[in-house]
Amino acid sequence: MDLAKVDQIVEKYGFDKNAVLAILQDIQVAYNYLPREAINKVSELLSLPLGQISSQATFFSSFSLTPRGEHIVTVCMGTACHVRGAPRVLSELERELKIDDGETTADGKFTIETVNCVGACALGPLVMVNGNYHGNIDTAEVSTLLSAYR
Amino acid sequence: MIHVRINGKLLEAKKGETVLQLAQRNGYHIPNLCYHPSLKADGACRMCLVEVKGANAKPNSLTTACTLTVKEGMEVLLDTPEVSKHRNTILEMLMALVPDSPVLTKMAEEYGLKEIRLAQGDEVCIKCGLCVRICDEVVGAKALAMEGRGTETTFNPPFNEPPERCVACTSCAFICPVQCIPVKKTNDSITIWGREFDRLKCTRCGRALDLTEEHMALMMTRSSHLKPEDLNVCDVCSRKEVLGTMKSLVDGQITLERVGK
Repeated sequence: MDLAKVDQIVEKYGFDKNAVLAILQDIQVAYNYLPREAINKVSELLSLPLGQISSQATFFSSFSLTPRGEHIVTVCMGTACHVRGAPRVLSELERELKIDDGETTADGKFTIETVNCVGACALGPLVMVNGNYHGNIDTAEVSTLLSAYR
Repeated sequence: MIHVRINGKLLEAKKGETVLQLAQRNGYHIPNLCYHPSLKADGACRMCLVEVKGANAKPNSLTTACTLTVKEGMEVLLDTPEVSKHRNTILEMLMALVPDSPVLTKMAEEYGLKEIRLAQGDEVCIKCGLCVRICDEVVGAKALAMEGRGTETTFNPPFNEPPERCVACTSCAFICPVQCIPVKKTNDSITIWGREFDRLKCTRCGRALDLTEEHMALMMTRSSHLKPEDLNVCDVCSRKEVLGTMKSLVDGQITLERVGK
């Protein structure tokens, strides 16, 4: 695995031991997940015990320790989206992509994730794909939405 | 001196002391699982709940005695029905999480908790964090980590792999209130957290020591005055040496100046 980007990121933060979270976020952007090798490298470069990195990397659900798909489909499960049918949208997505929440399709194209609120309650139920908001989504519209990224 | 009442009795407390320390010093028993005098208080297990009155406390406020610093005029009640009710709920949740712990079962008997109404889990760890804290604060190995969060929190070596920084001091297994960290000792090795360490032998008599190369190296980096010969000799041999020196002193074979050298 090419860890050159990890070196660059850690250097960008001036090898600051307090910047672990920001470093991990940048690594996740660069590699689409947090590779174990990258976490080990951060621990080594910052001279921090591995446990101090792993506790942060495992605490936040926005970090993924397993490789994720090319397109991240995020379903909002906040209260407003929930009452407007987010669970139905989620199961339709799971049926369509033949994977469960948190999993990645075999071809590495899609990953389904759920979050508790994205702060766009008026648009609920809401699905985000790669950070783009798709509001007022209906179960019937799920396959059309996905085909745009297929 | 700060004046604090515990169960109505006026006691003198030291500045900066916690209610738990004050109570223990005066012979009161407050149950706890995650407190240890050599570590910073964490308030993780919630078993040391007490009721506080006075000194700007809210009415009927319950808080953990281990993290509560004494204040002038504070009134603490240890065994009110309110404390007992909440403490038993916490104990009930702990027992639902870890059903087969003799320590918890004994506590339940002591505090009259009869029924566990929650679904039983199959964990062995009560998630108090003592193992991680002692490894960080006292041993200094920083080999363990608290990972995940909420009910999914785990206390393990990072990523639950054999820990690279572990020195097999077994402090974590020793301090664990529910004794859930397995340690396997043979004459030649110590196995903990899935990693096997070689035991050092006494350099005089060859007896197996509760010490590893890694542990010795860590102790020497943490206190620069320590030398290997201070550590790699067994109790019996070091006692023999001290006694031998004392005998020579008494017999007048050596003088005090010689001992210093």
